[in-house]
Amino acid sequence: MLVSAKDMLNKARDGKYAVGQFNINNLEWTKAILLTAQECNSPVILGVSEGAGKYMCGYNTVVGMTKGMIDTLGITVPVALHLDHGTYEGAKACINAGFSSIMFDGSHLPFEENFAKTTALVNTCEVLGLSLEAEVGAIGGEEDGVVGMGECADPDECKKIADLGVTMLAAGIGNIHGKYPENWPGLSFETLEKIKAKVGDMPLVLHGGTGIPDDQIKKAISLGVAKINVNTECQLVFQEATRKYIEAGKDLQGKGFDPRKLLAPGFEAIKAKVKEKMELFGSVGKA
Amino acid sequence: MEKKHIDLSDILGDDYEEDEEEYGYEDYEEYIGDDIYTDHYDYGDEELEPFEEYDDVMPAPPEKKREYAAKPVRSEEKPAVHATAESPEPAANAEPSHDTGADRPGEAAIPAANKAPAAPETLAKPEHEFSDEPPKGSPSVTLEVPLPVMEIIDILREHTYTCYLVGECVTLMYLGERVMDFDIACNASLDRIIAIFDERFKTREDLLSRGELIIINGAMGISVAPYRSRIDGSGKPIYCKTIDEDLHRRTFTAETVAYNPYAGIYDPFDGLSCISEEKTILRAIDEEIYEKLETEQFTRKKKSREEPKKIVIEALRDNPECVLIAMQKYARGEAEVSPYTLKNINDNAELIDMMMPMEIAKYFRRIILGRRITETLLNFSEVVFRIFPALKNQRGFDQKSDYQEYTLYEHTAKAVGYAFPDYAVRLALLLHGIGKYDCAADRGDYMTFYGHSERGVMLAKDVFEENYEADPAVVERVLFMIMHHDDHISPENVVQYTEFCGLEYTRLLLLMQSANIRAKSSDPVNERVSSTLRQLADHVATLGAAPRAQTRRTATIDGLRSITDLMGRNGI
Repeated sequence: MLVSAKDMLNKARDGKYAVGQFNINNLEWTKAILLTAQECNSPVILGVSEGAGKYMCGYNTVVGMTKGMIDTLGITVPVALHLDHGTYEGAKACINAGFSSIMFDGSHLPFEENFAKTTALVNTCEVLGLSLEAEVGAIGGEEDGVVGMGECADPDECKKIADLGVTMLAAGIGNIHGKYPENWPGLSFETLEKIKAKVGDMPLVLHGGTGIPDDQIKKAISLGVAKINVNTECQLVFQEATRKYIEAGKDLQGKGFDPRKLLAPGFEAIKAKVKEKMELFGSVGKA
Repeated sequence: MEKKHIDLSDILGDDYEEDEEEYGYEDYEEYIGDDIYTDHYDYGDEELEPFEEYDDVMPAPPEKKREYAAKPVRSEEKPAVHATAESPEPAANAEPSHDTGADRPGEAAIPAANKAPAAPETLAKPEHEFSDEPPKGSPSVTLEVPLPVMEIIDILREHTYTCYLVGECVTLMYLGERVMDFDIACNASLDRIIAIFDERFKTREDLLSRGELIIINGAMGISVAPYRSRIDGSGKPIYCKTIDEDLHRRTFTAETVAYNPYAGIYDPFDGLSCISEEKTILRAIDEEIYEKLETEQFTRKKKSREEPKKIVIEALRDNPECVLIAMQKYARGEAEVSPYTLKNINDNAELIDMMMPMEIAKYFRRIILGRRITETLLNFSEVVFRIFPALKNQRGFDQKSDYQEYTLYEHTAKAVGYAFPDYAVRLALLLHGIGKYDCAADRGDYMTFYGHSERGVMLAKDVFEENYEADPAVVERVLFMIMHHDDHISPENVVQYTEFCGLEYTRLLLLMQSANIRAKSSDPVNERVSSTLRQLADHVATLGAAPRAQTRRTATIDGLRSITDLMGRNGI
């Protein structure tokens, strides 16, 4: 059964570890992440961006596929299905479809509009038992058309949003989506500390997990980050494994053209990467 | 003869307990008496007072008019009837006003020894002659009148009074529906009515001040009254001479159809055209005249630019209570209102100022619980604003919100309509937004309403103190709901919430929020949230309702915890 992310993140915050959000793009990805979570006995969050949702034929399809897999594969670890960087309309569509967690990304809106729309969603999600993530300060990089400049969030604004009653807060601390450039200055832990001081025990979210050095990841977790988003890294390993398969000519051998064989290396690569991340975040055995 | 206990559900229907208030009395048996004889109208071997054989004593229609004394012979037991403004003294040598027409052609005159009692008091001759033939143009309709009612009619006829069945009973009989209350109007004075019936039947005199005597016959209460042209604000009747005047006071044409079992339907105001099985239309008497007048006035205004006079339909002006009666019937889905009558009601909403606040509140309580309350609040908006002036500034008020699809008043009307039919909940929803106008701050693209709950409570208190009467317990609940209508209650914190304010208040608030959220917009998310809150309210209700349930706290909270666990497991 899909669950809200609230309990798993509160436990992660208290236990000083982080739960990974791994974005899904198709059936193989979903299956890989779920199986890995079950094998590692780790809670997991499946992230769906609006673009991926469209690609997978809509949110109803995503919900149906995920619930069906959880049932059939016998997944018993807590699984949250989470809209990643959702618009207001996207958030409502996902609520109606049956998602158990929503991110409303109003970071690109004027603060007052972000505040008002987050307020409206807070009550809805509270009543329906969904978890709600809000964002303050745009995350840098590019993801599904969402482009930010890598800002550091204003701690006072973070507090205002946190006080609305959201479940978790994504605050820009210099992190970006996609590959990090070589001259990236790193995470601003000073900002993170200030934000933490303002918002108290609100679980914090770190986007753009791919490419952040492991030591910075661990430090961020120690400062209250309880959810870390990973997408690009999985895309990269999937691409690499698939490319190797093709370059090795295996698709030309026997029934190598069978999509189940063609996608298998990428599938395994994702599983390996997810397991690696779960170990890094410390969520193994925490389900 | 055995007394038989009457099963009230046989009379009032299986749901009579819910409808009890509708009938306006607490104890139906008190109304009809507890010594009723169910087979009283069975003219068999059982005793029939005062006549043994009905036919032998039925006054035969004389071949010539009877001559009566100029002044009626008074019974020693009954005081003399003095003429009043309502019942004029019959002139000396005046023609008898009551009909003595040919009821049964061919019957022999009664022998002198068996003549009927002394001539009753006469009134002016009615315009409508009593005869076997229906009036010209009257539809040929025969209605099935119960025998106890026929008996009363026949007794009046026997005393040569013209009488008609009037009011709602005619409408219901015409539609073939069950009728509980029968009203008879006749050209006898009230004293004569009392004299004729008081000793023969059990009667009730609690409506005598309105000119009605209630006769208990069989299982029925039958109202008999002289023709009345008005009942003034204090309930005092103004008597008149003709059935037309009596019918004219009934405001809506659907209620102006009269029926005499021997003469047929009398429909001077075309009431039958407003009655059908699909719907009854409430159209004020002479509506077309006033509509034409208003149209002409409008045309003149365009030419001369003179300020037109306000047009008010006389039937409405003379009986302002009918405004609320129309609203009630409309809200309950019992009738529609014709467009011009509705317009005139709204244009002249100040008519209800003549009513007592308690009276208005009595009607509005029934109105607000109607299943068509949303349409009622929107279509009778001026009347609503008259009762609750604080709502007036909600009309057309755009909240400039992405989450509110409707104007503030539209949202209010919809919210009331979506709500569980609880009086306090619906009243709270009606008033929950009255603080918004005062607290509105326009930020350009959107508005804020900080503090509108607190302001709403202050304004609602004024409403209850100045405009609208309600029970203190209801007022307390309404003010609580207005104050807390934006509180966040969810399955997760409902336990703590009940600790704060008890099960009953939590349940009422959940019902209110369920309707309020659903009325914000047609977004399906709102419907989902509304449904969840409603389920939560139902679960709270199953644990019983006790205000500030401190003493039962432990048991009930444990019960609630199991419910919230259950809801969580079911994905609610």
